[in-house]
Amino acid sequence: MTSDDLELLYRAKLADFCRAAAAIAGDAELGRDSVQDAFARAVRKRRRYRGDGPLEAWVWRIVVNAARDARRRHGVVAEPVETEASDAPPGEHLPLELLTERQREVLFLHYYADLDYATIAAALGISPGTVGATLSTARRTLRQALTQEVAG
Amino acid sequence: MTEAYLDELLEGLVPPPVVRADWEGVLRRARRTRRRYAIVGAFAAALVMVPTAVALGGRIADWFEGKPAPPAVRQDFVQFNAAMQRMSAYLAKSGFARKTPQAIAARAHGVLALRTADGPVYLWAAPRRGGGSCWLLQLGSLTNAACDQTWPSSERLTFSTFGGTLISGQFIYGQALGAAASVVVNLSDGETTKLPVVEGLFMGAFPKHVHPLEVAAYDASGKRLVAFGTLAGGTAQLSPAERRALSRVSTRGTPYPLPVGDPFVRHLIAGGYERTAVLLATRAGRKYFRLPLTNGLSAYGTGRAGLPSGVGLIVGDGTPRFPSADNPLLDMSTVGATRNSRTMRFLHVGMRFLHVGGIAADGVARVVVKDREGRGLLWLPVRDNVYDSGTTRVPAGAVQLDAQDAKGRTVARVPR
Repeated sequence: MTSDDLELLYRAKLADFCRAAAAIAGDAELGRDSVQDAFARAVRKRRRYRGDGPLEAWVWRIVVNAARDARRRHGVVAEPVETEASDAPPGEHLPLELLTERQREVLFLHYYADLDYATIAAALGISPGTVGATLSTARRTLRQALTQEVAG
Repeated sequence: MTEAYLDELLEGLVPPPVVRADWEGVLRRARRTRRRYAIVGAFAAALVMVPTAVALGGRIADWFEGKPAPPAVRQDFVQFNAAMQRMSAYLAKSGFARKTPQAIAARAHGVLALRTADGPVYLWAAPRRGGGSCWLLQLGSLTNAACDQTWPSSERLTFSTFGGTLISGQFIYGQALGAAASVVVNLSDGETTKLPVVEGLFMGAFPKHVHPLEVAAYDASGKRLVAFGTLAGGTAQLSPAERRALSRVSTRGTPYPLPVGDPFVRHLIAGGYERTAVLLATRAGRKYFRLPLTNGLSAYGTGRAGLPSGVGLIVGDGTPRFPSADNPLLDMSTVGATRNSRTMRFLHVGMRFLHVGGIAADGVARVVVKDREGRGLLWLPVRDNVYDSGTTRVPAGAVQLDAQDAKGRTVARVPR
């Protein structure tokens, strides 16, 4: 694998990488910065890629780690900063704080990067079966919370 | 509750980004990290020896002024215009009868450029339709564009800083109108940097661990025109004891076991937080906490009454670190946009404080809520390292907070 392969992947999927990284990092600028950092790491460590899995999954793993690190380095904002309560229609807030870190990452990679279960599994170091179960649990948790919020 | 509704919420949570590939930036970072360890010793020595102006200001390239913008930058202005039009449509739908500004992208040109360790930073400008100007800051793939909201502008000096994620430091950039020929920035470490004003715009760099205490515009004869400032000379002018008092939070508080049955609390514990927080104070039902981490550091948090987890908002360790002489105030106020908000230009301008509260270091005696002209509207004493507006309605014109010491000197300001 050469840096040309990485550049092709970078140019083809930059928007997906940035969007998912922004979701994981909790900030658009941090997300974009994480992607730049992750690809820099990938260029440096490209000889460690053994070719036993898709290149994209290997890079996603680095991107996820970089975005996760960025979020931790810059502190945790666990709840969106509130605005005037009357302006917020019921149910508009997505209660992501109810999800575990893994559930959130699986959800973000599936939704924002449109990755299949195998790639998500490789990126997060879990099995494809776990991806399916985690995604299902995450969506159910959010659905239930939103249903309660609207009903309440 | 349908899957489609959930998808809609997820779609709105992180909108598709407008990104521009910067593969050169990736390669630069890859090379830089390899070199960083080798040069770190030499760089530390150089920082001691170089004149302040170079260390603070980077090096401004004079060849850049007037240079026609490349197509990619013109395209950025076009995208900015499109974003403004979308915003205009949104505002109209929400009952705000305001037109958003538009840049004449074809006439975009260079104004200022800085060389930094993160690569060059460019400030481009383009005329605004109807008078005034628009500008675009560019660092690699990161861009940020803005325009005069009205023309003639009522603002004579406006500025913003950014760069929390950069390795080389932070940037200050803004607009100084009228006869302004230079802008002088006093920093919290006592250093000063003078920046030229070109086409009403200025830009400079400063280290990560400090923040501007005063930004003042001067005309060509050296006459001071307008200034926004806090403690003249910076907190470096304070005595060591006073600086130490800005660097500690001594309230012992009471142990507050977090409800481990709450999913959010479980999430916190999994993320490295201790199971027991320290309740510093409760004001009008709102709790303020210190949240010890298993690694020995602390974050701070607040939560409204009735919140099952107790803690709703957590502010982690930032830059500069809290509490420190450079950052003695950890503000957790609730802000909202106003109808006259200028958030498209500088994120903090035009935001309105709905509730004021947060954590202050020992050396902060009170927090003063001020209006745009710097007039005090509300004085909040700091007790148990906490300030809070409680049930008092925050006056509508409140746009900034000053942290004052017992002698009435402003030692920090929010927004910075």
